[in-house]
Amino acid sequence: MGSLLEVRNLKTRFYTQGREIHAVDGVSFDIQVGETLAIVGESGCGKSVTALSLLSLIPWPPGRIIDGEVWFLGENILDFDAERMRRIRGKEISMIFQEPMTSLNPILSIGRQLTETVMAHSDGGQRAAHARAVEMLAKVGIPEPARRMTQYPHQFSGGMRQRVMIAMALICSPKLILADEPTTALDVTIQAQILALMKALSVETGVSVVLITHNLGIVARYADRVNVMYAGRIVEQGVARAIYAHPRHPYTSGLIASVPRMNEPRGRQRLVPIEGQPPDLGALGAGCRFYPRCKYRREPCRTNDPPLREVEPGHWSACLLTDLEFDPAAGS
Amino acid sequence: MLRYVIRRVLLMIPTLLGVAVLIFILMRLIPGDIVEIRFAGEGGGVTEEMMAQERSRLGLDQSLVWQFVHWIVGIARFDFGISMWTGQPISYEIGLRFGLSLQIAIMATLLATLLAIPLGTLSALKQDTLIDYAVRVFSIAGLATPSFWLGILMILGFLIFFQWMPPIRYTPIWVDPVANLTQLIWPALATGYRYSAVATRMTRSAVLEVLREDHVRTARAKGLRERIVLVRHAVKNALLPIITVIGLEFAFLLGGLVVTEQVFNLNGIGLLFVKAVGNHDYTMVQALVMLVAMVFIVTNLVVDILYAWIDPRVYYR
Repeated sequence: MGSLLEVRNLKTRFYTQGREIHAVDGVSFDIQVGETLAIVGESGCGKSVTALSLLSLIPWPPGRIIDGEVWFLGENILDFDAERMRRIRGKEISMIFQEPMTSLNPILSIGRQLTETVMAHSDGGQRAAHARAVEMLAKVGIPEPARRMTQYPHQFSGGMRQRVMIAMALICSPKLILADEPTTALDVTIQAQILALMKALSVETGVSVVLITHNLGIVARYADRVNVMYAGRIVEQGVARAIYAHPRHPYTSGLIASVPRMNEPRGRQRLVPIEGQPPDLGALGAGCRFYPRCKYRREPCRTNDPPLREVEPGHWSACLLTDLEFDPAAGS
Repeated sequence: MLRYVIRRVLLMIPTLLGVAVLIFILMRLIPGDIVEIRFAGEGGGVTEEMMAQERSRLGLDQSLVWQFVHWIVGIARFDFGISMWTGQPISYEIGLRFGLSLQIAIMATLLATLLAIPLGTLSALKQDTLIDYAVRVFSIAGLATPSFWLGILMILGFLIFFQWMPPIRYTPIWVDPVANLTQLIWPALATGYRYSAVATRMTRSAVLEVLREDHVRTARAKGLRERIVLVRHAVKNALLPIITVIGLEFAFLLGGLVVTEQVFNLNGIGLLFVKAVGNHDYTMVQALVMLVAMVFIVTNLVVDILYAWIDPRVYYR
């Protein structure tokens, strides 16, 4: 397995009301062929902006990618002009959005929205596109796909719409799918179905998936590796299971402690929230961004913003504390 | 859908009946009647007897209920009666002018639509740039400029710089299109400017709103060409409020172009309307009001049908 996509020092800023918001501030990570990489963090930490930046979908104004590289198949796609970028979108890298209710065009038929994606990236005719669309709808588990092609989004339930979105994302056989909180807007029972479907399709087609979520339960179950983001930075990076079992950054351990565990008796374990609010991304200080909320903070953390360092092979953490000093059990 | 249209057409009957009652009563409430106005110029030689005779000739001595029923029964048979002032059949008087007013309204609508949708879209796309400001100045100016005043400027301009005036005689377009257009293009421009200003502003705000919607981002993420994103996913979705405005303005143009018609010396419906009101020409005013009401209702119906055609979520039964 090799790297499919390499992100290097990505910086995206938003300029609103005379302020400069450091939404994504120097993010680097790799995506391997066929893997599912999760990006986790609370609202506003820059996970969605990271995904949108990969496809240059940040609307200007107010946002702009000011620095960084995104290497895909040996080329830095951030250098691409609009037309070359367009040919990447939906063809090589496609995206699934959070809100299936609003992410489809309400006045175009499902069939049209599927076939236009095919037509934008191939010279094949309408008929071939139509056949491909029906095939994809069947593949994502939509009954009577040929009949559903002529229907409109309002005639589909939320879960069915998200299936349509998945079909749309996969229709050109992309190498990478960016799934931005694909199940957040759905019922819990539907969430499991959709995630299982995505997992099955990614195994079947070998597509890599970036799964953006704030739900650690999803990470544990569906992701191979994880990036934990906080305030525009990646604070911890590594194999999902290792991070879940043994977090090395106080923020990650705080996140894990704030999630209920179904395998422990009720009442045995209390949920521990992370106190405080994320910092204002328009007015960042010199020190660690997690400093004000950190239970393990020390004097040097106030002035030093630690970079990611490898704490064990394949496991990176942006914290000054060594393994011995950091004991999640002692903190709770 | 067909059932819906049939029901809407049937619903026109009570609406028009309401309009008929209202305008009938309003006309009789205006002090003075057509006979007094007709004889006002004759000086002192008019006797009560002559006036009574004239009233009975026009049927004004009958009871109001009888007059109303007589009029409505006529309308039901598409017989609008005879103008009390000129003595000509009303259908003839209106027919003489309706073509001209309709043509100006259609031309102004075409002009406004063809100008407003591209301009408004461009303005939305280039929000807060020089292009946007230019379009906004253009449309604010259009809103602030009365069309008759623009018409006067046009005519003065032609006279001073080209020693030319648009022809005064109306030629139907099927007789001589060139002569027809050289006369009617100017009032259509004068009214179309304001009209397009209204529609441009509506287009700009509607497109701006749609461009912020999630599905436009999806369309871009799918790798569609920008032109397709714009036309198929933004402008088409923004059309509903735009066609509402266009429909309302169109209906207004058919009856409301009084001063502009006067400026361009056009013998249109607006002028006929004002003269008829001034003369207390009951039957003529009533017929014209019914006509304008009809135009509004039909335009609204067409707009509603267009809604359903554009937006599949709109379904009438």
